[in-house]
Amino acid sequence: MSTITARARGSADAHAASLAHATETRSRVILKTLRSAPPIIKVCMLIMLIAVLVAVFAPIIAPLDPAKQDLRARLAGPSGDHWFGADQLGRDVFSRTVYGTRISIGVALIGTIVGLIVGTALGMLSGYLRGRFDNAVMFLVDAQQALPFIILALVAIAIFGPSIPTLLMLISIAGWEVYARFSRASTLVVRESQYVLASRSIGTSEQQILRRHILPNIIAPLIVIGTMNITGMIMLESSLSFLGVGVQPPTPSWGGMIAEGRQYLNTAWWIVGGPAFAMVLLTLSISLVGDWLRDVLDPTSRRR
Amino acid sequence: MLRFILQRFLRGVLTIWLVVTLVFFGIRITGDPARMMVGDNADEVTLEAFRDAYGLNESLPVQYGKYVSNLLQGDFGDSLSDPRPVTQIVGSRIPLTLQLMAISLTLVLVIGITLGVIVALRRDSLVDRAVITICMAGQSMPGFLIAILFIFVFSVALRWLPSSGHGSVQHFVMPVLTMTWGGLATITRLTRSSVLEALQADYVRTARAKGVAELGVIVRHVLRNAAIPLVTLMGFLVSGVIAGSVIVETVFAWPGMGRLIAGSVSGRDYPVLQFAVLLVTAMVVAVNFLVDVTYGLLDPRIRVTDV
Repeated sequence: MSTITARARGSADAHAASLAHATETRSRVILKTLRSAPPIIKVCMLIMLIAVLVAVFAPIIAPLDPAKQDLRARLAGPSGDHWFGADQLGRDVFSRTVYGTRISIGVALIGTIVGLIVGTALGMLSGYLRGRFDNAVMFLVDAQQALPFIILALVAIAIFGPSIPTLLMLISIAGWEVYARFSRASTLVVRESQYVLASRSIGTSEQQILRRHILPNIIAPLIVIGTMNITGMIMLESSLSFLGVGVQPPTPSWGGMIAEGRQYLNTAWWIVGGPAFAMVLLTLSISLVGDWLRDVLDPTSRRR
Repeated sequence: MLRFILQRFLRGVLTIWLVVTLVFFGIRITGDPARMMVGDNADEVTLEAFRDAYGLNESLPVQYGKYVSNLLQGDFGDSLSDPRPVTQIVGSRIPLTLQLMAISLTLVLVIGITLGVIVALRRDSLVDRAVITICMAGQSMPGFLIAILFIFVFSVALRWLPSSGHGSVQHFVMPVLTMTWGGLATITRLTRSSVLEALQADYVRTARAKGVAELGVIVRHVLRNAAIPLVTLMGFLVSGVIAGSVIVETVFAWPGMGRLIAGSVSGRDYPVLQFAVLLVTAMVVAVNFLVDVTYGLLDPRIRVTDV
């Protein structure tokens, strides 16, 4: 959560660079909003924060080496030595889940950021330039939105081979159309505004208008949409890893661990249990916070 | 209207062409396709024979021209792992996937719309809150996890259902439930919000004001109008169950098209993959085309302004 706040505050800074007191008001509003969140949302934000910390400090938090095999501990249940039990090779499920957090959050976050940048840039240009460029981009957006993305992802993996760079590329591509559609729509509104007209009439270049007037005005909701989309990206990555075409073993990923543990469901459910619990906890938290944020930012949606 | 239909049709054809072309060049540009298809440890003689057999020695534009003209003549090539034409292989798998899809889609629509209407009419009640929370939980869980949860409950703990395979009615239960789950949450939430929106519309207030009975208001005014946004979701739903079939069929060892696609990726069977992707794209494009036309017929504003 802290990252969102920081980024939202960052964009607020950019937005009102010349007016220091305005910035202060804005950040105070954000703080006040956060404080007014219902308790369950605060818990969810805490879970998100913990997940990010776990991802960053995985080597410190994990009690054991996630790759270390201990054949005496094969399929051992949860105990003091192995908090979440041990898997079919005697590896510590808790440590692997901790390292899996790193992969899941890392891939989803980087992919989302790249997708956000590319999608926003293309959407803004689309909405600003209109014409042929707009038609071409919107055709791609429609085509991608219509097709089941996992099928396209499987084709790309068949071509480029399963690896983390391929996953990052796919996750960036998975999200861009949402941001492009949204930023195009808001650019269409902003470009007609008085201050853009005023700016253009005093000879500001197109580039400057896009960067100084349009981007700061459309970015905040895009960041919220991006944050909510991280859930989908975590699910995409873990689904591909589950199918065996995402993160490759022995690198621990939640999807991969669940796929491996599947055969041991009736004897050692904890192999699936650890990563499944972590994933559901995180995705559900992000969804709940996202939903709450949307209601706060857009009071009209609350009534529906 | 004719112009609108024609335009939508051309768009669909363009989408199919784009996907086919991207896949074709993707496979050929990113490395030696012969090596990718035959395997890394094949010797040079085998590779050369393979290139000759599949025309990979010719220039790219020539290969592409031949590929497209073959496609147009209904020749989609042969599988690499199985000597039969891909049309036969994929064709034998389609009915099993269509069965899953048809049952799941029906369930999604019937249960989702009913539930959505009920909770919209009792907004903010306990039932409403519970259903919305469950929907959100459902949307936050990937399909494979739901599938594993079902296996854990129904196969491992209760021993009621077989965990994989097909052949009996029992084999249908878990794959259908898993496929239904994801779409159900989306449809329920969408129905709820579009019914709530219709409830606040002026025509509903008018109907109430002129003394129409509450049931009449709901059925004749609210539901009819709330149905329109749901029509547009059909394309999205079909696309969703196709994506779901890849996961569901892999988890439950269901020998349909989804599992064939996943298998052709790890087995590098490019002709099968290319044909399966072409088919999936054509299916989704066709559904979206029908949705667009229906929508255009239902709502005149669309066909006038969107052309």
